[in-house]
Amino acid sequence: MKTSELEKLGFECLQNQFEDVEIAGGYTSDLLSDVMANLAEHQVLITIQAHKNTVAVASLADAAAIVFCHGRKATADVVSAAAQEGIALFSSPDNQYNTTCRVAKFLGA
Amino acid sequence: MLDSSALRVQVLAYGLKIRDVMTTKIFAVSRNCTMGDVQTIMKNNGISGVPVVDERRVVGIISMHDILIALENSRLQELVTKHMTTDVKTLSEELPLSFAISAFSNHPFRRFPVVNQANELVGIITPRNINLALIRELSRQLDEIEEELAPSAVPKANSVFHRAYRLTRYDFEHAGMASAELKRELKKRGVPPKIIRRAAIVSYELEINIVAHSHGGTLTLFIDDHRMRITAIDFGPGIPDLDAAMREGFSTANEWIRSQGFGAGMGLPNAKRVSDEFEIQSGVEMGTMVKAIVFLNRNR
Amino acid sequence: MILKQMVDKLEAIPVYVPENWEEIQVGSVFASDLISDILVSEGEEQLLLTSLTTPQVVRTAAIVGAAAVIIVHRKQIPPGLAGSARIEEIPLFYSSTSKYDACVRLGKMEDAP
Repeated sequence: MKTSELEKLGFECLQNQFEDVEIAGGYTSDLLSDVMANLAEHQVLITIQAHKNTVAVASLADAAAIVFCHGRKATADVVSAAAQEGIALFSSPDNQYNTTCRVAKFLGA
Repeated sequence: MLDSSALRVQVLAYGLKIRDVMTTKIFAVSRNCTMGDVQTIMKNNGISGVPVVDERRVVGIISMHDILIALENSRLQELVTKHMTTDVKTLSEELPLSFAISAFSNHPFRRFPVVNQANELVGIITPRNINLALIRELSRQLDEIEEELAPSAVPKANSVFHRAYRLTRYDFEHAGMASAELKRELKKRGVPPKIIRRAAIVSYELEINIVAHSHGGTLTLFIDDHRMRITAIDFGPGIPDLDAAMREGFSTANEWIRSQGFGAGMGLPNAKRVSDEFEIQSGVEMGTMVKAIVFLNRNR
Repeated sequence: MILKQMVDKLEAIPVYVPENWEEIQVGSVFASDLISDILVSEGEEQLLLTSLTTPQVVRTAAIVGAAAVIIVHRKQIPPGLAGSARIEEIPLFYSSTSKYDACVRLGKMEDAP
């Protein structure tokens, strides 16, 4: 499954300048230190932290995308940081548990 | 700014007037004094602003900044009239304290001369005066509450529950204790769980807000048969933009606070969401006051 | 869903459990590492999945009336948490499963007829 296909899950794409890579799994967390330690390459990060630092941490891990839960939108500075780093941003209307389940199902877990 | 002053007067300022709070020990100078005189007065008395008066009327004010500029330009021997700010905003001693609080939020000044009805200088008010007065007023209220509670050690069921809690900055270990007690008290009174939950959330959000974002403060709980009222007061730093603070996602939290699981910018909007009535007032460098009410016999 | 089955699914270790905890029912799952987020959750009888290990997480769970808390992605947790859970009477567990995997496993359980 490719990053761009996340939109099929009903997620709204907030930032579309990214390399359309094959998604290598997911990681769900709101603690940036935890994300920094555990997020792996080409994974999707599922989080509520619609925050510039989240983009920085995701970019360190070379993540494929960030999905913000609860319909959270990103502010302009977050979007531009993500565009610069080539990290896709999506917004899921669902909570973290349901969003994670949907992503996992989609990835065939 | 005046639209909300009635509430401020009532709750935050407890009906205090500027006269009750200002300092009456005034160091003022006349027109024929020099900048050097003012500098000496500031140095000897540890103050940072001196009004210039003519027949007790305020005609100007000299700040520490003015002194520094004069010093830099070697003009300390010159008359104050050459250096003073003449557009001085004064406050009337009759006004409620809330006016002083808004004045500090709306102007960059660190002090205001206070005048009487004849427009004569009678005092000076600073944020520090206000803080001290509020702390004094709070401890007086605490004493009253304790006196009220003293006669009957075991409160009767469904009597009035009235208690105040002190909250310390960054004390995440103890934050939430007031809310836990609130929960127990409401449970004891047979309040429906959904209402308890809302009441506990408001109280908890406000407790955390004080611990995570202020220099410390107090939370007062009042419960009777009909309502639970929370008054959360902190002693600064105050919220510069209340509209932004009430918007979801806005937060000034640092990474450490975030690592504790807070600072997602949801606290105040959430407290408001679950309250039946919610009022917030804030003055920069003075503090923030929140009053929230949850009705105990009204489901949503 | 039955808490006991969910705990088993995540191979979670009990830290504090009340008597008869095996009978506790869970209405929904809520995953978050943000106290503020937990405080806006709406579900009833929630099972909370979190990687936070502060006493506040237990206190918050009690405030929103959660059915239980499973701390995820931890091989151990601070010793003080058991006391907090007992005071607040919140069943508390921990599991080394990551939050992502925990959600996935519980999600499959929910899907299963």
